Amino acid sequence: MANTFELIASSTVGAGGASSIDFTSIPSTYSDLLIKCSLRTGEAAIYTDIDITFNGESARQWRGFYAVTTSLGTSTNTSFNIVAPATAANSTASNFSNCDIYIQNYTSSGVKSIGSEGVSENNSGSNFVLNMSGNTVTNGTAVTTINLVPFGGNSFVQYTTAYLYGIKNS
Amino acid sequence: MVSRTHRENKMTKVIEVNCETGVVTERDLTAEEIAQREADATAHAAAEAERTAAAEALAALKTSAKAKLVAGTPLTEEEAATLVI
Repeated sequence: MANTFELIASSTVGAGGASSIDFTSIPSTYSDLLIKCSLRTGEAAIYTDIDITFNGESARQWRGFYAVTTSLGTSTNTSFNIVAPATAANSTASNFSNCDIYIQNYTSSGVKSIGSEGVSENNSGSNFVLNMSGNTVTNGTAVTTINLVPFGGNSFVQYTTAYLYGIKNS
Repeated sequence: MVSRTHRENKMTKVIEVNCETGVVTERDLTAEEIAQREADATAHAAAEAERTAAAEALAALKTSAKAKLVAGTPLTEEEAATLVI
């Protein structure tokens, strides 16, 4: 693989679970960031929405497209940034979602755009979750910290993984 | 829409990965972080309910519009809007 796409850091959740995965002290030497993750929570549901936060700030805006079983729609919200679904406890055991979260111009002082897509894996022909979303964050500073948090006070379970990549445009 | 049950598994540790040093640490949530998560959960539940209600209302309008089309009776403006892209 070209050295313009580099692994910065990764995290694998241990036996005790985790309320969030935080990447801190992110270097500013790349153009964009990409998080590739495989997620599962202990929530008693088919899936759990995952929120992203930059630098611990609360400025958020979510514009999303979603498909849950046979329901298809779009939604917006200014209280959180939904970027991915995590497979949850009511889905097939040991299945995890897979998601890509792309953050453009993360060192910019302007608005940051986040494009993401993910699907919650479940060995079922009728229950599935697709999430495609676009988010903007207007925090005015470079992104140095990223938090991935399951909604509703839920936790990631063991073997959940997240890989943070840096992407250079040269 | 799939029904949701929140707060089924309790908050645990935060995993912090320092990208400069590669050091991984686990720590408890701060009181601030717990408060933020509670506020997020409330906002999320409200948005989820709104999203579900909107999806159900749209489905009902489409069903009604379809039935009226088949029966040859006039549609309301809202019902017609579900058929025109």
